[in-house]
Amino acid sequence: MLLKYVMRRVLATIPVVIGVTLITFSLMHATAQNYIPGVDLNPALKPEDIEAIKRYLGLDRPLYIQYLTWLTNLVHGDFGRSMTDGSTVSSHIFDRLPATLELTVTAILLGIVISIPLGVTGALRRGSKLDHFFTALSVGGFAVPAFWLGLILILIFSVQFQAWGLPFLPSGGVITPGTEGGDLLDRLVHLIMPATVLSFVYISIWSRFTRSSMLEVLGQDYVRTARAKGMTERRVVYLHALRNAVIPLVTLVGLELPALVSGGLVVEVVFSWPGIGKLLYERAIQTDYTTVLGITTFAALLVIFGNLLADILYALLDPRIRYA
Amino acid sequence: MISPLPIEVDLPQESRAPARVARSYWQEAWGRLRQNSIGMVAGGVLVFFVLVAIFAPLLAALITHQNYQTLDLTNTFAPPLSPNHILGTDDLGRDELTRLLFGARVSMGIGFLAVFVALTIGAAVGLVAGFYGGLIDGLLMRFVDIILAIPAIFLFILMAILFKPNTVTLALIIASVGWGSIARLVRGEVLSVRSRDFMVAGAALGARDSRLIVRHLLPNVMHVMIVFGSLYLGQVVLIEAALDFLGLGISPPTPSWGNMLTNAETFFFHSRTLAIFPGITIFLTVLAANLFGNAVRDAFDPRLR
Repeated sequence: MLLKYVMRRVLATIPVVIGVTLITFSLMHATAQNYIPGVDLNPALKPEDIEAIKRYLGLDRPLYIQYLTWLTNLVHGDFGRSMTDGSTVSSHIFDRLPATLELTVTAILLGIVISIPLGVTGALRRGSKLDHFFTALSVGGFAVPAFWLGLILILIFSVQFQAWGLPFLPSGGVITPGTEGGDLLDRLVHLIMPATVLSFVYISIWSRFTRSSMLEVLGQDYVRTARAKGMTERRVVYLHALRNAVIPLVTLVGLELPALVSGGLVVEVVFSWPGIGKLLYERAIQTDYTTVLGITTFAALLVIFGNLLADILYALLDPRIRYA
Repeated sequence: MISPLPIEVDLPQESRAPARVARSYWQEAWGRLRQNSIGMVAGGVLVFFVLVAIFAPLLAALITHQNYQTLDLTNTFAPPLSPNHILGTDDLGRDELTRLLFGARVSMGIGFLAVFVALTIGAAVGLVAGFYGGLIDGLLMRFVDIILAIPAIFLFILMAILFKPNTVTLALIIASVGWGSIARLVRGEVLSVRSRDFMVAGAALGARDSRLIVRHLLPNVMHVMIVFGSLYLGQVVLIEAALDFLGLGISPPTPSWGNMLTNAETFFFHSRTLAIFPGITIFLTVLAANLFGNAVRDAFDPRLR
């Protein structure tokens, strides 16, 4: 029964995968139109040389053949080669993936660790000044442009602190240039500002969510029963209520998993963080179309795969979900 | 003989208590919205920015007396409150306040256009998919799945390079992704309304599908669209500013709040304020849009408070 459901879900993702690849591929070709940076406008190359290069790259063949070739390679795990430096796109992706994961995982963890206490406190002291303050903070945090927040933090903690002769934070990068990167403290110092900026939105959304979910749970019968048994308020809140209040948050955090790859693009650019987002941005500006196509498809496939995994996990965990 | 009126009838006394005036669903919502002071202030701020956008040339002529693209290379990085430049000048000596005023045109114009387009397409798709169900529903919703599976920021960058956007195309680019979410929401709402009695009655009376959709379904999903639209406005302004900041949206010399921040980092040592003002206007606009959206949601569904 379950196996059948899993099979059905897997089969259902196939059209979505094909649709995604069709869209990214055709968008990219509408933009590029077989243009090869560094070749097409190169006065040193004769037209017949350019023809030869295009034939070598397979750009002279009909578009649907190009698509099918690309798709076949994709199925074999080959994301193509860069138009500007000829190296494989997958090598670029795996080169940049660790930095992106370092940033986004930290931001999501920070978001969880900070937003839950904020939300619980807000719910327990509903209507208090503290609650109003947290609410204002979250509403404000949701409206701040991430890149601007990054700029302001750099302005304060890098530029101004340096001007005042205080210890200041590095304004960008993963490690201090010239060092090997083995120094954990150095990495952490570089991580502080970008992770803070990226977690800001998560904190403002998730703390509101925890608050309302907690309020709902605190009104339930079993919480009253627990109190009636003479349980301490601490135990009631943290043992009984919080556990159930956090369950919907898990879903919400799960929805952010695709952002593990794409979520930090703007932050990566502001803090010159060498991740996937910055790679895509740089390559897009250099008109390295195949790399952009590869990264976009890679990210989209991750989203689809993540959704599939979540659906199957839900079916495993929640017996109420019928395998229909 | 029958005596007239043998029974004492309690005639309703007109002035005893003013009967509650019958109010429609929309009037009820509007009444609740009007009592939400935060929401009304936020709405006022939005209206203010819209007016600034519309009357930017007039305001520039009256207040700053400057043109937004007049360069003055002898007077770059002037601090705020310098003569003739209320908020100072930027790296090319252009008046900062004038550029902020004109920047409102980009943010507001793209914001409202993108919301309008996304709502129109999204509602149409959602209504059709929800109403007909079956194969049409399956195809349309898979298409939505496909659009929403590709990380939005990547799609924006791809399309921004493809179209070299101006104000209208940038709005269309942003809306071309945003319609997916509203289509899902509207479809869900349609599914819950579709089998109600008034729909069955309408169909039984021989109403055409188009009439059922436009006259009966649309008014019942309108509240979802209004709430989504007002919350989405803030998102559009944020996305648009980020794209301009990255140099992929509206590009100079047209001033926008996003592209005014593009080089802010390199100006830190000349002027701090250049990095601050455009961010504040973006923040205020998005904040107002979000708070107004929340107020609208509360007004339509008081249980959600």
